[in-house]
Amino acid sequence: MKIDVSPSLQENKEYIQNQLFHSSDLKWRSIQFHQLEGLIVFLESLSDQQRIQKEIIQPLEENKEGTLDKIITSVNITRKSDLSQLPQALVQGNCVLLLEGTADAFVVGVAADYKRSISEPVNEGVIRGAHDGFIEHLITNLYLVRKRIENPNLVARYYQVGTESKTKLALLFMQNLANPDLVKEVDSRLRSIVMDNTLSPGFIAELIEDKPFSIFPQILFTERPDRAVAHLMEGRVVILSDEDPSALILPVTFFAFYQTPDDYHSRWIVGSFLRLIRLFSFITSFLVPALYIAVVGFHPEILPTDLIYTVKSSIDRVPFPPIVEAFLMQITLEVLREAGIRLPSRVGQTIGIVGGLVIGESVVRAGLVSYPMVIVVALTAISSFVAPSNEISTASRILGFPLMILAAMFGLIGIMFGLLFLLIHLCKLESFGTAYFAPVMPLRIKDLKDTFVRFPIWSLNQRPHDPHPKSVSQERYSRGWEHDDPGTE
Amino acid sequence: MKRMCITSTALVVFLLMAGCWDQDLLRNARLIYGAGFDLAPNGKLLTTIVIRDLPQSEQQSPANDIIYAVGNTPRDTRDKADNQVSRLLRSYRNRVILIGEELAKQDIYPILDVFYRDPKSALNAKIAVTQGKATDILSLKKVGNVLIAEEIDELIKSKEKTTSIPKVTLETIYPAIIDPGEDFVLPYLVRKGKRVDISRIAMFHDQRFTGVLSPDESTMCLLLQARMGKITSFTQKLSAQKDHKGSHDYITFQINKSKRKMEVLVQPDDQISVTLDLKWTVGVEEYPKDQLNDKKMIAQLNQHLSKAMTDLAKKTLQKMQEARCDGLGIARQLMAFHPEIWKRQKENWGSNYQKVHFAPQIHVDITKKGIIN
Repeated sequence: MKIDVSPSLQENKEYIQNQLFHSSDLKWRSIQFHQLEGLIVFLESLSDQQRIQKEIIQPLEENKEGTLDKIITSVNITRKSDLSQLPQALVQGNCVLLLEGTADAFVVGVAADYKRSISEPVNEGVIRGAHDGFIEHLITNLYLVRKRIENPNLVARYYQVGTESKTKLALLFMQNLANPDLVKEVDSRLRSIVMDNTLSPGFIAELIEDKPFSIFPQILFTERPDRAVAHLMEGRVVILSDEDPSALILPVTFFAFYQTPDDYHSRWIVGSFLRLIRLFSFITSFLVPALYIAVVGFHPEILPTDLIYTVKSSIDRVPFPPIVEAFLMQITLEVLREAGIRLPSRVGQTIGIVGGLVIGESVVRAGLVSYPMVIVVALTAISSFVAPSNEISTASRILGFPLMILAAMFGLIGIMFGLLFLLIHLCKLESFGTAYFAPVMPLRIKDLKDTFVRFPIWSLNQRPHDPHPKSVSQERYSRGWEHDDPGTE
Repeated sequence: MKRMCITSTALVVFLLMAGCWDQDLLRNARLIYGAGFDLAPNGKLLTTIVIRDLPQSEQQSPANDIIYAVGNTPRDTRDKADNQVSRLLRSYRNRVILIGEELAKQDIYPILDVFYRDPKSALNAKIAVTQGKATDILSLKKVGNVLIAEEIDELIKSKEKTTSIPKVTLETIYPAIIDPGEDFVLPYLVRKGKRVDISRIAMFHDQRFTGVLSPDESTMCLLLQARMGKITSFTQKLSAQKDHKGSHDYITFQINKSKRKMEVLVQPDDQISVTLDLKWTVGVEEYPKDQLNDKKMIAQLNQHLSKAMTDLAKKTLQKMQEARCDGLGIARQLMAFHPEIWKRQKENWGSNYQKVHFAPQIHVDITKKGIIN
């Protein structure tokens, strides 16, 4: 509903005051402009008062000739004739300029920028490579991306979600690479969000992901601009949000959760080795406790003779069946991990002592848990922490629990069925129209070059096929100096 | 919603009904480490079971618990033994099976049947025949500081490497047991005071124990079978004269490579003759006389050793024939290459085998002399 700006300053001021419910940080200042009474209205919490002084008040005092929009030096100035839009402009950090007898109000952008400096993300550190990370400021984040892809094809689209909180989002994609259907799909999903308050990118991810009941994360969170850029260049889209350093990358495959920028910064043999270790530890992170339970509870005959006596001598004194032992330790571990996150770093050492000494040692001494089980649980924990993405790391640990129950009930056959179910689920899972388990299912041999291992950069002639990029070819003959004739590889 | 209800009910029911039905907790197991079978009076079976018990604390060493049970069949005796121990007697990690001499003279398959039938039984357990009763050896409990069953297991493993006894497990003798084309040989355990000696071979014919070979003959038997282990050595007296005494008159050599060529020939009069050509390259391990630089000396030694070894082979084969043990698988060769002969002879193969003419020939060639020459 449009309300015209009243010629009377007093009426306008009262209207704004009422709309903002006489909030205490609402400030105004009277001015004189060409003998007209004027009023500057702003929220002192959101506006930069130095900028108001420099960009509005100073030019006005010089009393130059010309209209207001010409005199005011601020970059961002708009004319509004609708009074009802002014409160919204104010809460966005703008400053409103009203003049006696004028039917228009001027909205000047003087929002304050309080932001931390760009620093390396704590939970996504790398050994070599760029050490900058996204921060809680959308424009800075956009800058970090744009700076890496200086290309007009990089498109950013702004969205506002949250009917009350009005969170600002930016959808980034490469016009010449990203599949238009994908962009359209993401666009429509973002537009369809109806929610009061979208606090974090986690909300966005949960609102737009395909299968919210799946244990696997289908959207990759990252705080690293280089990671976001790498995915952009594969034809995926990135969603940045204001006031949060996490970028959402979608659609991603399972294997994207096990890639890190480090793979590409080190030599390919090292990178491949590390990636194999990571994928191996994904398997161990949920399978080892289940396997142990199955072996000790159902199939002890598969243990070698020397090992069986070692294991037996330890578990003979334990009063619980292996499943209880495993749950006891796994849950203790999760509690310890959770406590480790919450605890301030100054008392963090306590966790080490309590966890390592008290739980690890005493529990065995007391005969509550056997040594092999402690080793199994420790192995599980360590291998789950190897995952570069926190989402998949937690998911893999949770995955261990149902498998443990299956193992305790049916032995190895139970594990087999559990894994079968898991594999079927992975193969069936789709995210934004792309297969989640690509390129293994559907199989595309060429894309395997950058999944289990990382082939040399110069051999990755094609982009991964899973996001259906507009253009597949990404390089050719990158080691052209080796050949006189570029026709032969 | 209804479907969800039905599926979840079904799941819960399946889990609760079926849960843990074939659980076999390691914690509840008493693990058999070795077992011995003997004849008991009145045609019964005496089974001796060795259980390895684990220490309650890390300082103590493990101990053996030995249980005796008399019954009609191995399974029967095991069930009776289970009645005498707490928790469950489990045999999936059994390492050795010993069969007493008297029992082995009968058909041994009925004793082993239970092991082949149980899917969880340890088929890689070693099997051996004992001089006297198996229970006497197992009752030793300890040899030195090592528990008896463990000692036998380790001893068998190490002697397999020195080509003293054949490499057999329950699994590998099964084909030989059911195969009429070949007889098997097993290690033969002898109790020497408080120790166990394993250096001989027990020969079998038709699943029955029929004779024993001496240590040298055992090694020769394995070489004739082309089943050489990692280390094979002989110590041979050099001169025929009796007045030469002391270690100067002996040579010890190790066989580096043995190549066997066996041929089964049938004469028109159905006489079966077998030629066995063995070519050995050997290294001298001990030879105090030390004249190995001399080529003539080496040739002489080669000749001497070849002759001595051929004699040993002849003696071995003769013993095997006496025991009717067709360890070389001559019958199998006949089945494959002379089926009509086999058809005529299989009825009475045991005695026909004794008529087979063996012509072994061993060539010894000294190639290594050690580092002092």
